[in-house]
Amino acid sequence: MNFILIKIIKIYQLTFGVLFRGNCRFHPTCSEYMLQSIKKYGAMNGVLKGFKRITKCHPYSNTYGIDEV
Amino acid sequence: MDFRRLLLALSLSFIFIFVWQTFFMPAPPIEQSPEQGGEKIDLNNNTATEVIKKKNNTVETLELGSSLNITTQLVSIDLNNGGTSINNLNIIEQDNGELKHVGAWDKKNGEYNSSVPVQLLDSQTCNPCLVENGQIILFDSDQVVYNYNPSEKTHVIQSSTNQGIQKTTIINDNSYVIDHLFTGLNSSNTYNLIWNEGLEPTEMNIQDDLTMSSLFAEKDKSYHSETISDTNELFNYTNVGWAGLKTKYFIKAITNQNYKANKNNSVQFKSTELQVNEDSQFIYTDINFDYGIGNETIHTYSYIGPIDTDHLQGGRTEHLVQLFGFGWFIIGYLGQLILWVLTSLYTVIPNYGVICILFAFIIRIFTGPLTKQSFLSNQKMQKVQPKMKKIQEKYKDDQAKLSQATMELYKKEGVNPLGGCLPILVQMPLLIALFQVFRKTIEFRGAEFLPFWITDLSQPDIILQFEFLKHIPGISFFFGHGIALLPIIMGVVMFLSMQMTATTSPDPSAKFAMYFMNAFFILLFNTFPSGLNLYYTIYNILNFIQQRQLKQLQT
Repeated sequence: MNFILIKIIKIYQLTFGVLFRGNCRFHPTCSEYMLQSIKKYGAMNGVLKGFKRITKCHPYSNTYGIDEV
Repeated sequence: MDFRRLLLALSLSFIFIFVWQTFFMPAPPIEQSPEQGGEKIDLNNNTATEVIKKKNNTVETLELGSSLNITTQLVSIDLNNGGTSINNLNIIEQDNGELKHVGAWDKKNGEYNSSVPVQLLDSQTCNPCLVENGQIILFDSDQVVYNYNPSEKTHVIQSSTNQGIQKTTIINDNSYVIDHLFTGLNSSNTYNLIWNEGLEPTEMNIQDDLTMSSLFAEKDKSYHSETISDTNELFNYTNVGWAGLKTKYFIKAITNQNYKANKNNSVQFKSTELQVNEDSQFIYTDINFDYGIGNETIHTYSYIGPIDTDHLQGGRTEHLVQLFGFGWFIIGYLGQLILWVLTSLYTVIPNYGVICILFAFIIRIFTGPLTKQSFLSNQKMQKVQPKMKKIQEKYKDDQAKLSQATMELYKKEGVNPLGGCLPILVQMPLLIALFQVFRKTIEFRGAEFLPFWITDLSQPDIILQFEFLKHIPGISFFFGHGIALLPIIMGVVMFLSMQMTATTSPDPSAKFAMYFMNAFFILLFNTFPSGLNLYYTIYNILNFIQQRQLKQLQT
């Protein structure tokens, strides 16, 4: 499961990710963040944490910058 | 230019097209040779084989006698077989003194006429016919009794009696539901009720109409659906509620009033696409309800009319509504909400094109402040650009360290980097839901914006046709065979606003990819309903104007 998810994220990073490069509010990027959190917390919690991160990515969010897993 | 990235972007685009086609576009039309069309009806138990035959679009059939015309507020119906079977059905529903649904194929000349009423049934044979032990029951056309019941606003047609069997047909004045009641059945005989021949194609774009057509059967409270094909495949369901077929905008659905009591009932479908002429096809489906033995009466009712939730909701057709969702989960609910907003506005402004423009303004009210925020942070970012350059020089070879240092710089200078991706991501479901609403809802069928431009909001606003593109399979499938104006306007506006903001992007290949995606969007949107394109074009124009104003304020 983890393996498949990580592969999907890697493919995303190489394709769509190219388009968004340099436009990120956070470091690491959301995809990188999700990848690391899947490794750390497992598929279920990792993906949840990743999506939570994406929801923080808007102009009214009071967080930005470095936000490690 | 980094060609590896270009290749990536290209392949990504193809993946995107593939995913889009798989989930949001109809399946490619099935090509069919004329010889295959119109075969002899072959019911499982050989009931009606001898009596009905359809070949090369000529119906050889039993003598069904003269027909009786009934006109209600919604339909004009011709009944034959002694007032028991619907032979012709035209929709004459009116909206502000004009016909609500227009357009029909003239099958003799193979021409589409967009000013005549929609014709759902045209010279059909059995709608329905009762089959007793394999024999169709015929009724005397001279002994039909017709009554209008003014208190209930129903037209009641009572047939003559044949072998003790009598049929009563009840047509409501302001509903598409028609009741069919057979009485005096012999419980030791087997009975079938057959609905033959399906529905007429109603749309100018006949392939589009065909690919969105399907058969359905309600079983255990949910719907099973089958795509219509030319394979003469027979589908069999037992103990069904509703069953029938739908085209893009119209439906022919039949239910059995007491099916839950009668466990023996089963339904068989057979579908073929029948070639009418070179370009047009006919959705040809036989429906056969098998009741077996032990019946004294059969009471069933049909809905033959538009897929219009105003008519379907409430009352006896309520259950059918769930057949016509806009997609799963969020998209479905969002689609409902959008449709509600658009139709509510329509009661005030009777032009859906104007409503699309207004809708863009409404969405802009919500997204406008987001644009402002991201624009301002964008400006701040440009101020720290010189410092950025230094950092970029320093960590030229280490991507991870580079972005880390960039972030630290932003924090120090109080720059809130860009807007974030959520506003873009939120726009996606909205666009998909709008796409579904404009494509699937009958309200936008033939909805006009201006008499000379965008005459049908459910179709692309083609301004140039290229017939030769029709013959290139891949291109005609993805791109259509004409060029629409709105996607081009939209693409140019998107390009201009991107050019205004993209200067901060540190990566030239990302910038290129943005332009590439832009061109790709023009191609993609070329086949989309013009209602969606009109909305998104206005949305982008408003976005562009806002950005320009913000920029002028800055300087």
